[in-house]
Amino acid sequence: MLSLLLAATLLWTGPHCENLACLYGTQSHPPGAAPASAPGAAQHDEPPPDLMACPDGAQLCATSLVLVPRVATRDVVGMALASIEMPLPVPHAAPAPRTWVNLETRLWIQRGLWRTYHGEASFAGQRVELNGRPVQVVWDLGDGRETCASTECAHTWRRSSTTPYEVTATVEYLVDWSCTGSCDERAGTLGPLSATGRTRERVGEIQTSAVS
Amino acid sequence: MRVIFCAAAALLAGGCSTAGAGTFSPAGPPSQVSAQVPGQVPAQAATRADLRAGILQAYRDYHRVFELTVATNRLDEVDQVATGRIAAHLAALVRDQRRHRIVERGHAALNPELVWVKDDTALVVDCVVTGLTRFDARSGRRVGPRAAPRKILLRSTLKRSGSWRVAELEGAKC
Repeated sequence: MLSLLLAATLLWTGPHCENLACLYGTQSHPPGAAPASAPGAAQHDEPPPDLMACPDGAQLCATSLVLVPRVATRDVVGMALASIEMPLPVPHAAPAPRTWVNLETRLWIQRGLWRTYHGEASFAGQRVELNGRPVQVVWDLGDGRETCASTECAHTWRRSSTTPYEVTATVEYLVDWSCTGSCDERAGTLGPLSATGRTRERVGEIQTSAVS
Repeated sequence: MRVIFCAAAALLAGGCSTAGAGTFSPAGPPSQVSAQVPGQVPAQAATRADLRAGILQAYRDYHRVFELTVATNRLDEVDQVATGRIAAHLAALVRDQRRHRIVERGHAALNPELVWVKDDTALVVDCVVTGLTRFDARSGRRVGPRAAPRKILLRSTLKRSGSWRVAELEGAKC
């Protein structure tokens, strides 16, 4: 009897969300039956607009739904991560925009990027804080790769190119997070997460010859 | 009262850029896995469980692709998870974001329930917890405040044409 009353209560109520729970009632009558035949619904002439009636001939029809937005800690971590600000690297080279074969070319990204970044999110009694830090920069230089653990790097092109080399600098971050409150996980590390910036570099060749 | 959910949330948020000088690719938490089919259940029940699992996975895939799309302004996977008006909305959204040189990042906590299936149409409801934060596409700097997570009761209509894809979305407070 109690379950019948509960079903009747759920039956014609629209969406109802408490702070941590969201309930939604749907029809429990079989497909094709009149909605008014459902228990507890007689006083309603028309179903509320949000009622999710099963259409006639449905092959699968849920009898009732209880939606509780369970938010796992890793979801809150995802929300915090989505809000964290990690600037994109801006790659530079010297000499630029043209360098030369067999000449060590200096590469760098903005120095201010090399710091800790903070993000946070709270929901359902869980508070997640995270800190991201750059750990290395991977340079893709068109004819090879360099990996450096700071904003500075260097590369020597061995071949010239008629078109500029596409140069990308990808900063890899590790993100430590911790959760306080009603968390199902307490701490962890994400990553590496990457942020990429692009530029172009022409590589020419100087040929010398001795004339006697 | 009803609004197109994700697309609307993002449409309100504004635009983005082809011209992004770079990309940020945060790997969010892995999506949850839907139901498994027990080995000893009758064939019809197993088929229903498969159907349910397939539809809910398609719904989750939609959200994964949505988050990737608005974070990168790339429409590469949209056609695999969305169709009709929703696919068109996402394309328009990305165009708008590119024009304004912004991207948006967010993560949705999902708890979907399959309401019904009729032929090649299915309805999924979900009280989603989500929020989108806007960033400058060129610098990665945040534009405006961090999004506060909020709940949205989402009604998603999926259509099967080869695979299940999201065709309609309606949202309300939950």
